[in-house]
Amino acid sequence: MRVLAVDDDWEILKTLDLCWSDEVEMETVGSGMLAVNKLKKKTYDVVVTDFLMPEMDGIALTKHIREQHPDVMMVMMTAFPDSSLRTEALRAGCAMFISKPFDCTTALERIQVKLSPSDDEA
Amino acid sequence: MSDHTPLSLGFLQFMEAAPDAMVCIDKQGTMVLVNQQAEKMFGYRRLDMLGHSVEKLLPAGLREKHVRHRSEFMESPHVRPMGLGLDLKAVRQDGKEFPVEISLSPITTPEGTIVAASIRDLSARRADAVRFRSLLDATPDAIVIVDGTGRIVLVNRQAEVVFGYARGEMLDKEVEMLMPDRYRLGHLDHRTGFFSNPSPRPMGSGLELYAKRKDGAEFPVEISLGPMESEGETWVAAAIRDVSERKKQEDAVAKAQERERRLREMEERDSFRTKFINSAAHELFTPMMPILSTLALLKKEDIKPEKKNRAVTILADNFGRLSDLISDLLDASRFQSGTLKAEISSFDLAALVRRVAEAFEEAAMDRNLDLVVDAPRTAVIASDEKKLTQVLYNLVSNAIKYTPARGHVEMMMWAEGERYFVRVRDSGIGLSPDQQERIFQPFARLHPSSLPGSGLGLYISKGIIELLGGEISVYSDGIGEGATFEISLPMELQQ
Repeated sequence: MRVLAVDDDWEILKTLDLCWSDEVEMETVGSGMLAVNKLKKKTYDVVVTDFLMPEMDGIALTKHIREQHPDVMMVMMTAFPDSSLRTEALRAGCAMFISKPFDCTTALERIQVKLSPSDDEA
Repeated sequence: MSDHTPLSLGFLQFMEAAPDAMVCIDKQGTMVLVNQQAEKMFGYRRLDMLGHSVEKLLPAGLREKHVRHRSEFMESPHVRPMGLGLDLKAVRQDGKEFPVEISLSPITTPEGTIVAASIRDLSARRADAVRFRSLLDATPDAIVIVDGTGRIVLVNRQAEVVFGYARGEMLDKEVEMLMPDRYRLGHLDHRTGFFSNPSPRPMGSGLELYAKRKDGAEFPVEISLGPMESEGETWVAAAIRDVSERKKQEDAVAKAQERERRLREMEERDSFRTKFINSAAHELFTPMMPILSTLALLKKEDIKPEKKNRAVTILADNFGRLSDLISDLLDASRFQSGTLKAEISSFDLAALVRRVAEAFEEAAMDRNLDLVVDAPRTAVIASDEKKLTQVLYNLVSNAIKYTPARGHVEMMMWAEGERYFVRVRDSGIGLSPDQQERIFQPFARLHPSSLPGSGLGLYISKGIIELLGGEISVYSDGIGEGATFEISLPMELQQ
């Protein structure tokens, strides 16, 4: 599984890298624009993005990726327990939410389950 | 005529040249001399007057009374000047009556005393007065005209309506009767002052004035003053406008506006608070994710030592970050609630600037930055040293954080007037105009933060500088052009 993590906070990226890099193929970038550039050169199975970022936020990034790379699963990390944001993110094409604060290991397990083909599809 | 009178030719010539009509009568009231102006005024030829009784020139109803007055006057003739305010009337040959003013002068001749009467036609003046009065009554403002001694000499109809007095109740009274008692003394001074240098004063010159009605009720007025010359005296005409209604409306509008403003303020405060708390929660959750994750990782028994070290470092860094954030939140909440207090002492601001620069020397060297200080030898200031230190640390650490390697950071300090200035300039990533506008707001999050910060540093710095009576501003030529922060502080902060 190839994962791209997007966050403007270096501490978060460092932690994700620490927890996930043994399990998955892991890359991190500090902004939405950098993520867009990465996706032009390489394919990923999952993009995990923060919601609140300067310039290009998580919603804008999700919309862009769903349009250009419909096969990529979008995961949103947020500390905003706001239902209107959830609706907005789901509408933009977000497959799943991880609410901050979260434990990376558990979060990765959830992502893996979500990504594995369901019984219906099998 | 010279046959009948022994008067000199000079006198006769003088009479003809006189501007007023002149009629001389003898003891019996017979006209013995008249001039051209008399012919013109009364419409008689000279011959139709001479030898006739002077009552011919009076309205029929007054003739009998006049005979009596005339006889009394003749018993002790004396000079009677014009302008005694007597309401006198004369009649023309065509029967038309007109108002006159008359002066009398007895003249002694060998044939006895004759009386010379100068007669002035007041019709024109009366007409002027009537027009003036109608004009006054037609103006929408109350008009009160006051003489040099402050007595009311004229009022219009509107003045009666506005003040509730009848005309007669106001005339010849002191104008102070129309104002609240508390203004009386002051007004006497003002009045004297105005008369010593009378010049028009328009309405609405910003004075809040009140007048008093007969029933004692006060009401707001606007007053304009204009000097007027009358009978050789300076009078003052005051136009007075009752502005109660307008004031009421203005007050209502002002109250509504004030209510709206306060509502808006409350809404703004509310929305600010909601945003602040949301952002604070977000910022508090952020370091908790690494803490939770690394704790979970460290619980595992098969963790490699290299990974364990990384986890511990992340754990410690984020605990530090969390506690910094909490202390910033406390600071912000203190000055939001106004409980942040300055602790004033005297210290050397120049030395403080140098100390802060020294503290960052190593960090600057690590990042290959040039850190320069330019400050006077000493600069004594009375302010809060601890809080200023916090602000300067924040500014310099930002400058270093956002300046790429081989750039430079400069700290300058100087005095100007009663203030000290501190400037922190960097050659770093700079700020767009939009970012400059938002930079002092809490959690502005302008840059992807490779180095963690609470998002409250500059917000708190601004709060502190304002608490210390100073100002803080930012300037940047744009993205990539570096940024300059400047603080100005009073040399001595008054508690």
